[in-house]
Amino acid sequence: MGSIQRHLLALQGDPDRAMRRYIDLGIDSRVQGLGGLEGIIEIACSMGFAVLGVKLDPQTGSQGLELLRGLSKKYGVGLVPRVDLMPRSRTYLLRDLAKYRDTYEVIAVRTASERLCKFAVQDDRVDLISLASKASAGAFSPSVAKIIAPNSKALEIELGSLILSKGQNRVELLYEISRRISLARRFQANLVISSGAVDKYLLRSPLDLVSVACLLSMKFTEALDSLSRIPESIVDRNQARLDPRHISPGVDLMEV
Amino acid sequence: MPVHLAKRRYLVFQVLSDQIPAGRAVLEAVTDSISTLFGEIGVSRLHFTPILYDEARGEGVIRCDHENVQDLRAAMAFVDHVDSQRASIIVRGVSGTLRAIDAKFFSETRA
Repeated sequence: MGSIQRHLLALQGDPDRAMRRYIDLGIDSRVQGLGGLEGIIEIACSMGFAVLGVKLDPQTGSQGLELLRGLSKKYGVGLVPRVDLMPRSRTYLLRDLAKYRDTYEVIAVRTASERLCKFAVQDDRVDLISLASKASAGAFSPSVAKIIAPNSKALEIELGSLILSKGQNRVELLYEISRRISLARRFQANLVISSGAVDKYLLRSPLDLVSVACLLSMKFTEALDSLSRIPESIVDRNQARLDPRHISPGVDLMEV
Repeated sequence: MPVHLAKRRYLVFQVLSDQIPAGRAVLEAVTDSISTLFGEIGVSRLHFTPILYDEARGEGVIRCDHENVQDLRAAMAFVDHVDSQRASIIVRGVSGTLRAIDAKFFSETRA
């Protein structure tokens, strides 16, 4: 967005929108592999995303991280490595968190268990709770929603699965996502909207995602925040955390 | 006698697909998507009209009532197949006049 356009938006009484950097934390490189990632990133950049969160398979190791660094330089977009954990129990979750926290900038937890979900929300190393499918319907209960906000976590809503669903499946998903949004609003829990794109055809522009979110009973500014301000705060927090000078929240090593 | 002019919005869209589909197929996909999401009443309420479609570039303009831009945009975001091929429709911009659309998105094609 050019500076004149930003200025015009500010004059139109929407200074917030004028300054927004759109972030999609849900680009999934695990289905097409790292080879298909460049095409997705190229299109996402042309749509106006400033930062993209890329889900990597932990088995790709440093190869995936190197590729992201290269693509980030090539397209001038921020690429944030992300890992999705699907733990079977608390032990597995703790083991994976200890293993991946220092490597990946965003850690999301997917689970269908409410108990595990509560446990994950209370862990400082988890950033997102991602409940993509209907199977995880029971995991997001009022008691989970209540502790998301004080723990500075966010609930992720992936719109890709909704776009791909058909018939009864879509109806159930629409209901489930709307329920989660209203629960999150009731307890002032943060929401993050992402495309969940596994290929270029599932990518949508920021304002297209906002329009879909508005259908799901989100307010326009809420949806804009879920695609810019909230993911940006997660990325900024974790980039600061991965800085070698970072000691603990609020304590950083200063140069003398 | 005062005349109430309906406010309209023009949406510039681009179709992403391996093979650029025909305009009729794109319109059908959009209508199907609106119909699935909002029903036939919704299709009539949106009051949308295709204005132009460039088959070489896969870009087009669609017009709708100004109050229903969000709904039309959402319905277009839900399109995942056009003419039984994987595709998506991306809205590149919205404007209130065709002149602004022309200046912003189609001026380079004439040059």
